Amino acid sequence: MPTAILSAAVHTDRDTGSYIELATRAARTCLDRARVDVDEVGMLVNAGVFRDNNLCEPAVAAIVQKRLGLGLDYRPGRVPAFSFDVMHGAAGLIHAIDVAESFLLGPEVNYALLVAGDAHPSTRRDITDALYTPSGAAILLGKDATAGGFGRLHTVEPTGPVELSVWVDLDEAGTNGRATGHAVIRDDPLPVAAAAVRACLADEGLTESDFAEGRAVLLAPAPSRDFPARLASTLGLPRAAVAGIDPRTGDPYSAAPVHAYLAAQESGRLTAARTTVFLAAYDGSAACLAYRHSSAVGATAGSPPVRAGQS
Amino acid sequence: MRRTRFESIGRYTPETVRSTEELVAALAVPGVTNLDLVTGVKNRRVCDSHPQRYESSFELAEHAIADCLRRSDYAADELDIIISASITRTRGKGIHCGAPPFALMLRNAVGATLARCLDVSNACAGMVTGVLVLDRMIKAGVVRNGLVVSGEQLSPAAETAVREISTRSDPQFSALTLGDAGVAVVVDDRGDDDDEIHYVELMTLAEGAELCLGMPSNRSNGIALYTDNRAMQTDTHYRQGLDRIATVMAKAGNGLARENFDFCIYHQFSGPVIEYLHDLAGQRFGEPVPTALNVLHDYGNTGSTSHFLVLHEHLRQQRIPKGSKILMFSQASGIVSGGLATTISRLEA
Repeated sequence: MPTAILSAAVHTDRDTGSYIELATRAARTCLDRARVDVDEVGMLVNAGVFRDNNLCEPAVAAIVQKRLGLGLDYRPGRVPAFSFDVMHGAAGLIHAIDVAESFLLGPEVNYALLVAGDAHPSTRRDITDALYTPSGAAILLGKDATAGGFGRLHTVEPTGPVELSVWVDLDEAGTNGRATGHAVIRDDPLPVAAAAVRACLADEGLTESDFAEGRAVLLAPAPSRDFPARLASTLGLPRAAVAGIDPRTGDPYSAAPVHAYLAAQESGRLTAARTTVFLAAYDGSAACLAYRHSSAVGATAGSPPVRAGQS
Repeated sequence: MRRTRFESIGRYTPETVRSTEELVAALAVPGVTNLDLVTGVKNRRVCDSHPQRYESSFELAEHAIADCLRRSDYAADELDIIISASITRTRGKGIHCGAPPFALMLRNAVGATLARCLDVSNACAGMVTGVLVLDRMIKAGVVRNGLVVSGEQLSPAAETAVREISTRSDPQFSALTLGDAGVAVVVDDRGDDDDEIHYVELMTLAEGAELCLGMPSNRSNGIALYTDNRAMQTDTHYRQGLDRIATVMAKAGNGLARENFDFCIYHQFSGPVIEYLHDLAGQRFGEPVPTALNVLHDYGNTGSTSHFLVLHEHLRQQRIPKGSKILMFSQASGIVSGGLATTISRLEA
């Protein structure tokens, strides 16, 4: 049975500086919107990069799971919950969707809850030099007979030596290791983003006219304010078919795909869309994944199978 | 349904041996004796810290991949995916990587440039989680094969513990068991009766998610591991893990006896606790649990690499006959619990 996006949510609340808290709120909102009980979720994957206190273990997903009250213990006969982190910089969520779909195709997992996002490791709200916008995002995937599911993941990666773009230098940090980190934007990700999208569109048989006529929408990340426009121009797509993120939001980094998805939904661009193309890109890496809203042959315009909105 | 198998295994352990005696001698707390008897750890390997030969998590993983591919029928450029599962992702002294993923850097270093890559992070269940992810991706038809790797440079956490432990009830005591290692396995879709991953099932008992935390110390510059052993190592947690494995076996129409395991492998965290868990498993299943293999005495707790280091070491010592069926029990921070069942014939070390 194909995988469907059942709901999505983001939280950019300023009353907390904790990514774990923001992710937990987004996950809870997501479940509420989909009216799925927490005990039905068999899998929770975190795809954030920056971790509260630069935590190495356990998986951040396990702590989000605890805060959600999901699978606190196990009894034979109940759905066991399993959580772990997937990491691939700003592209982590796209990879996590692909991983989760492999589990959803099996019999054990009916709902997979994915969270992504970042906040300053210090969890302080008054930090102003963070490179990325603090937020927690969540997306709930489930099995749905009417959904078209996701297509093949297309990635573009650098093949030579790679410099770090996010790291912690503990020797330099001294006793401040829990509250420090480095993040740099090394390269313009436009070329790799465009290459990944081209491969995806070719594989899905999508053309410029699908985008011009509203049957397909491309979700762009936000490494720079003009990225959606530059991406549209590079790919020869109408600017209106490339949904970005409200420039006031800044760059939500690993949460960007969900921000873009919700922005596209709020603007009405998903109403007629049969395919939404998810894209994430950072430095020399890009990941692109098509989501087909309906598996019905000759599907007519209608609401996608989502219940979502921005908090 | 595609059948998966372990196609090859590789390992790298640093040459430098550090004894528990040495660590204890450096502790500020007087009267700590017989720590090797209490933990089962006599020695562990530690990374080379010489600036010109520095071994971080990256080098450990890179060497383990090279060893694995030497024994594999696959060349690096024939791999579909690389999954890195380290808890510690260090490149150089004190440098902990967040992005890009370790798997990408390793992929490029070993020439597997056609492979997709991602990191999983799941504490000491990392390698088993990586194998689980790869198993599901192969069965879903997403990839045909892949390599799961972990390099764990855990000795800096032991050094922090030695510096900072001031009482016998310090939560960093468990860090004194840690050692460094790298392991890698190739998994593919060519499983048969002689070589097969029968199942990989993990769950997270999130009530205990914050009982074992790895994070930078706020008292000195280094990584630290804080474990509430009393709250974490409980019958309640162990029984839930055993219940899960029993449920998985029952679903396949089997109990422990019908599964005919030859060996079992526990996470290498404490000799006496493993013995206790072994007895508890016997009680739960109502029959003796097969022989437990371990490397705790010589290598200590090597984090996410531990199950596969045990497997490699016993293959190397030719103590595992071809066709052996093995059950790995996972116990990790999170609290992650569950198991991996496999029959192996072609693995060599």
